[in-house]
Amino acid sequence: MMVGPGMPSRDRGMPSRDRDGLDELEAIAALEGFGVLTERQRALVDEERVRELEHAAGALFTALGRARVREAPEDAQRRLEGLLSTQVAADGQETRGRGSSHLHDTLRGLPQRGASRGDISQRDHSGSLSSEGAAVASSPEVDVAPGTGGLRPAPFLLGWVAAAALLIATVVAYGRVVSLEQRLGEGPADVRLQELVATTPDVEVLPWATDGIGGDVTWSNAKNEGFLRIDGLAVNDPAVAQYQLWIFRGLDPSAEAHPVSGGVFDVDREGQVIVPIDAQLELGRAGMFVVTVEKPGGVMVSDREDIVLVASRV
Amino acid sequence: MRATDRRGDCDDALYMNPRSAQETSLLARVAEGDPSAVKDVLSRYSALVWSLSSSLSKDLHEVEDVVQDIFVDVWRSAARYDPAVASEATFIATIARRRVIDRRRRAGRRVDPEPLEEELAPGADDEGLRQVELDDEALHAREVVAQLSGDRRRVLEMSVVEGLTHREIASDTGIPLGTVKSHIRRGLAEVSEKLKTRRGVMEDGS
Repeated sequence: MMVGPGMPSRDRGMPSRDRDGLDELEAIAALEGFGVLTERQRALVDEERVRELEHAAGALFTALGRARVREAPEDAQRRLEGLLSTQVAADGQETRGRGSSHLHDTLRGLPQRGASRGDISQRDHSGSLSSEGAAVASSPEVDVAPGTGGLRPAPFLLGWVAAAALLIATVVAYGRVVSLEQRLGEGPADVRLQELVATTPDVEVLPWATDGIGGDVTWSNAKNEGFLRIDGLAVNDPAVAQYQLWIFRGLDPSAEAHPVSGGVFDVDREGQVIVPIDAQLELGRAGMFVVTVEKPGGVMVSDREDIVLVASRV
Repeated sequence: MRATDRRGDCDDALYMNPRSAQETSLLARVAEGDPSAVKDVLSRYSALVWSLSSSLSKDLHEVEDVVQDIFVDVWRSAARYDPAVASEATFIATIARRRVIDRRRRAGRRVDPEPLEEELAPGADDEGLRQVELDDEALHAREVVAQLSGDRRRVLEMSVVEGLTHREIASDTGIPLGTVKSHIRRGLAEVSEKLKTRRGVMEDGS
């Protein structure tokens, strides 16, 4: 959040309250999300002074916040390095391809809860949605940078693109497709759902908080397993678009840039469908489940522009 | 992470290591999209960010999430870094502070005050646990705080470290709201002035 350009020249001594009742502390608080500055306040705040004070707070945060350091676990460090490397490569491609930042895209917060039933059929695709629909998801595919298909990385990025490809291979779970046909071969989903509920003490049931959609999410943190029951979502044509589940550990999607993919799935008929959740990473604790519409095969990082279902602990 | 020796428990073991020239070039490389900056940034700052974030939760997944967010923010914000305003470590810590406080606030969570338990806990002598290495600016900030009265220091900690609102601090401590704001305002201003003086000295000496 920018505090505002064109600030008046002010005394750089002790902070003082301006004539609109705002001081630098409140501006810092606004930066931290504690409040919102009005346009008038933004115009009056001494941005440079606020930045100085916030940096002073940053230095104090280091000095007082933690007396001791614990190194990041090695696996977390590797994931972080892979994430940043992928982002650098993707950002380079995006910058050259269309002048926008992939980092910005991945940081985009959750848009307003969106489309209800039928919205997927209105997507701008050539295929039509059949009431009979296909029940089998398409082959696995991972999209590192949505919207960058066809772009060539700059030569200096090739090595990092290769590294990113290796990363993708190792974390393909993020965009892995759930084959309903294969899973149904393990036993009817409704039976396995009942078994999970009957045998798992910590199982939780979270209803969809989306108008016109029935059903819920059944999830066990202990088993890292669960099922979606969905009634009312539009039938999709898997050659055109597919649904993808995203699992957030917390309750604030805007603060969680990299939710875990719970797999890609199709809705092949009217009425209730039961979809097993394919969480390939240990979540520890799941806080929110979000279903988006993505291109066939799913994506590694969703732009979160087409959200059709949300279920949350709150 | 730069290898450092274990540094004992006394505060004097905290030390600084000025690296202004290196630091400036490092975030500049990030801003330019230099892929090789990834390893260098993580080598230098991942432990700092991880330790600042680890106060958020005992859940390593949650800590990892916020650490990822912080570093993505660093990448996104690197072009705005101005070495005349803050050291690189302070710049990154400022981003970390925003993220950690934002998460804590959204979760309705307070800082878990158990440093003593952590000191005495099994594994406290692990290699991964050592005295924090403070950069020059953090040390100067610490010197300012050390000179503050008990109330002022506590109020500043509650605001800066724990991220409590002014009203929450007033409610917790019984100190009038205006006094709370005054303590925070003066504390931050003194730290800021000290850091500016230090930067002026460094520029004069360069």
